[in-house]
Amino acid sequence: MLNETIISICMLAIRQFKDHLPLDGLTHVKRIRKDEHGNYAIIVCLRKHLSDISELAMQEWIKNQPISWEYLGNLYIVQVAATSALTRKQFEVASKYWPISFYEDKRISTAIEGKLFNQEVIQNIYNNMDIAISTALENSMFKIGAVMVDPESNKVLAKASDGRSRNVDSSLLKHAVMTCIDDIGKMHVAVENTNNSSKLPNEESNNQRGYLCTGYDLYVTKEPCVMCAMALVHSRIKRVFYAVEDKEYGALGSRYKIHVHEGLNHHFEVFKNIYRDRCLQLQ
Amino acid sequence: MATTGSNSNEWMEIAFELANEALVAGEVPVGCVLVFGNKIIGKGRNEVNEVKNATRHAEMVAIEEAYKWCENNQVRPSVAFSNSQLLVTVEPCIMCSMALRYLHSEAVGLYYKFILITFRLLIADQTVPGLEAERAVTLLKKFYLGQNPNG
Ligand SMILES: [Zn+2]
Ligand SMILES: [Zn+2]
Repeated sequence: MLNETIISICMLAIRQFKDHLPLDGLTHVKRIRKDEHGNYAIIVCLRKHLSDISELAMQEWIKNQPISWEYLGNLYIVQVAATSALTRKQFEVASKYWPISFYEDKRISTAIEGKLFNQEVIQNIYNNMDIAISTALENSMFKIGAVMVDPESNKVLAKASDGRSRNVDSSLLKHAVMTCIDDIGKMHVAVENTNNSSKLPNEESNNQRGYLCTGYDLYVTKEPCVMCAMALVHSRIKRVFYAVEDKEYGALGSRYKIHVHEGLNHHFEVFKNIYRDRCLQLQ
Repeated sequence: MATTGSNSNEWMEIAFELANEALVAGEVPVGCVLVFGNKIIGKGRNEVNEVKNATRHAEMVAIEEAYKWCENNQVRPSVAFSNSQLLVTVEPCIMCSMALRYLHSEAVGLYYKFILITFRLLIADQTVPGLEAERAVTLLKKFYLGQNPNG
């Protein structure tokens, strides 16, 4: 067949598939592929949508769709990437199965290459996590520590250890992150009171600064839970650095991804595995 | 599904009074009461701006007060919270929902959904949403419109 004929058949097929068998939620997947031998293949539909019927029944169901099949070849099953690629490496791996589109996020790429922070900043990050680790040791039961830092000055503004014990009647909500946020609030109230009494000229700028954790970084030895992660969203935290993931409760990557949740009005960057081995021993 | 007690109207009235108090103080108007054994053991309203702490939602304030109540009345918090109901004028956010879940406390409310999140699942089987929602919305509108006259 002539190349032009093949292309027009493909275009027609794609149009029909789009109308009758849309690929919901797979916007990153290209509908058509041309392999190295010049053969074209088009995705008909998702196998998982028809997972409750046999392959034979599926073929039959597909053939019954209002689509002109006469010039199309056999049906077969391929694997495609379930989600869009965030990194070039993911893109390359996924493309081996089926072509997908890829828009490189320069910031993520830079982070993966280890070029996001210079040596001095990296040293500060480790130093701050070190402070979080010593803070964690203040509680003998739940060895979790949190430290709030102003990255502009690399000054530690607040630090807190976990306030819980194994007793169910102890304060179950005194997670290190919550206490750290409380302390920042108290600090800001104290600053405002001082400014009001002495009428310092920077009163205005302090009010502008707000009452939240805007612009601050949090260092914590364990991945924050849903409550703490949402408290950090409410507080408008800038970045979070944590050491060990929490597969059961972790809300910044493990169980949930609150920091990038589309329904929320504030997002922040999260970095993990800082002194992970040391913090694993805390548990 | 949770059921409100015979005094629930009275309790909700107090929650609304607290929400109003928040509005007057320039806070997001949300109020709540925590009820255990037919008794209010914790009351709260938003005090985020006042204490410069974005986590001081009505629910968190009420929980803290309830802990004190337990201490003063020699009641074990684990018993009090797991048998308590929270009556609140606005649907709890993710943070407060998770806090209530840690405490095994039920949320019963006249919610207005202003934070639309899938995490509603966290407490969905324990809530009675939607009653008197309009009243809660009116309060919220007063707050947000008051803040932004052009809105
Ligand atoms: Zn937590
Ligand atoms: Zn809340």
